Amino acid sequence: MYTTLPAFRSPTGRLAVLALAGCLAAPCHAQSAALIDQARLRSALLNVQPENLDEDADGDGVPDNIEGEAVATPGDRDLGLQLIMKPKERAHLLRLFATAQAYYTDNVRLTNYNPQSDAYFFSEIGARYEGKLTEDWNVEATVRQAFFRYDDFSNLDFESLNAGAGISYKLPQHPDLMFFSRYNCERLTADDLDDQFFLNQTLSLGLQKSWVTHGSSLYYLGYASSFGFADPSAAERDEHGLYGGARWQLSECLGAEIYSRLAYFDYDSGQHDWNYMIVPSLTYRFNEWCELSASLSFVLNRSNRDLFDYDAFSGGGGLGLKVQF
Amino acid sequence: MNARLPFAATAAITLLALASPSLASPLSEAQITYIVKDVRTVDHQKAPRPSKLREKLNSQQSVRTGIASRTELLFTDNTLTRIGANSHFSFTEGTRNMELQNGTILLQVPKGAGGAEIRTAAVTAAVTGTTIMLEAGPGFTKLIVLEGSAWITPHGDKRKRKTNVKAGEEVILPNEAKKAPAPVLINLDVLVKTSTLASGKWSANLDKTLIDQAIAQQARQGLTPTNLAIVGPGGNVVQLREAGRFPRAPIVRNPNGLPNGEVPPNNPGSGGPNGP
Repeated sequence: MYTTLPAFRSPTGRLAVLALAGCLAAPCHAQSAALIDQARLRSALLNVQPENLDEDADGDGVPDNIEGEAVATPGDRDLGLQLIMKPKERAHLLRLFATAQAYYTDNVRLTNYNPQSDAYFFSEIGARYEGKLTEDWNVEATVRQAFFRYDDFSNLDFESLNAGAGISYKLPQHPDLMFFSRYNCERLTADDLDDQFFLNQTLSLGLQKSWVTHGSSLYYLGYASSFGFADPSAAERDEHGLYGGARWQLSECLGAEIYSRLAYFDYDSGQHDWNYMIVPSLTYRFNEWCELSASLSFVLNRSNRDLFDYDAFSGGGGLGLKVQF
Repeated sequence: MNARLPFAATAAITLLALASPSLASPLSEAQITYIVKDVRTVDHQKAPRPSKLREKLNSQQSVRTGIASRTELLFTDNTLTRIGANSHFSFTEGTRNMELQNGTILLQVPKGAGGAEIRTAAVTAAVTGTTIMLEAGPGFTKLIVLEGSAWITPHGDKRKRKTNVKAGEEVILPNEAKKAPAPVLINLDVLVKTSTLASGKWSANLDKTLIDQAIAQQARQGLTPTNLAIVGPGGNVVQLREAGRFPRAPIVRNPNGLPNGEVPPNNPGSGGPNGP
């Protein structure tokens, strides 16, 4: 019977931590946010329904469906033309953020051998910069420090320092198609930031296609490969995955999202995993700087090493604060 | 004793500020200063009759306009109301309350005049020293603020929450709305240039000083055009081929076969300062 859980220096512990950190990594959605913004703008206009969004092929300002019809409507010229504007997009945005969340997981070690449940507390502080180089090129840089504190298995406590930067390019003719590349360095420590047990550098490449509907909904599908350079190298892996998701703005304050990914993990140690993850979440935004979120996640991992054929469920939520300049 | 003086002064100023709306002179009568085509005065419990230029209206009366018609009312405190086509407008004597049953109006309340409340089927809009355009359509109300700001309260909102709509913003509410949607920004410069209510031929002068300031303010903000527009009344959103491109004015023909706004000759309902 297991009386003690493997420490971080065991391969199992390292991989569990690495997998958990990977699950928590959010996909890059800078372009998606802009698309949602436009959809929200449309939606704000009288909850515009698709049938109200008329085409104007000849560009004369008269919707095609009433073009040339001898129909008088009250005050046709009384009010005048209402060209919709939006606030100028900021070329540079610096955001400071802090998060405090609590989660429950039914498989804290991410293994199929005697899975143990536990609750953990996750807190994070960080800064993110987003900038527009041109209309089509965007850059992003993020630094974040996260703390994981387990309730029962405190020997699993660890911290994660992430620093990375990426660049993305939207095709001018197809702004909903984005190519991106990103460098990230992650340092995992135990014992209050002092004891580094894992350092991983990754270079990611990918592309993402997005679709926005009139009702402030966003759907996206993407592919990303990341190549890792880790110390110790036993935990080094490359990832190749398809991901997809959707966001729905249910009300002015409430949003829902679902994210799913199927990935192939290729470890230097010879381990090969197929990993599937699905994460539905809800976010309630109180105002510009404060939001409450809740999420569930289910991870299914199939490996050529039986020990890592695991399923894991986790759920929780918490408060997020952000300030942007 | 001296320590009480600032408190007393603050209290007096606060009381005066709170009381100021009620000190404003109520609306008593309005004069018809401009008539185009079919404008009718509706006397209490009588059939509508053609309005006369310089006719004075009281709260027992209301004004109706027909197709491609418009009129202008000037209240004694210089509150200006321009009424567009197919509209029905009235006010309540002894208050500063107005009602737009249907159609479009431009309302300019001078600063210091005490404001006004205007009611449609969907909403009550409260303004103080503001210029707005309001449309009461079938099933919806549209509010556009040209300068200043307005507070709107949907009738369907049991909590009577007020939403502030600022210069350059537009809100469209369905009649059954329980909450005002977030306003959208519109290009004020284009709107004013293409609006008959704001820039057409009228008798009384619309004070455009503050409207011009609001337009300049928008220019300074550097707002980004979108490829969405609403042409004229209603919520019919047009997707333009090019963001912010100025589309030609729509030509929507009335039953006479003439472009809207053009008056057929010898129309017995036509009028105006130089009309019959």
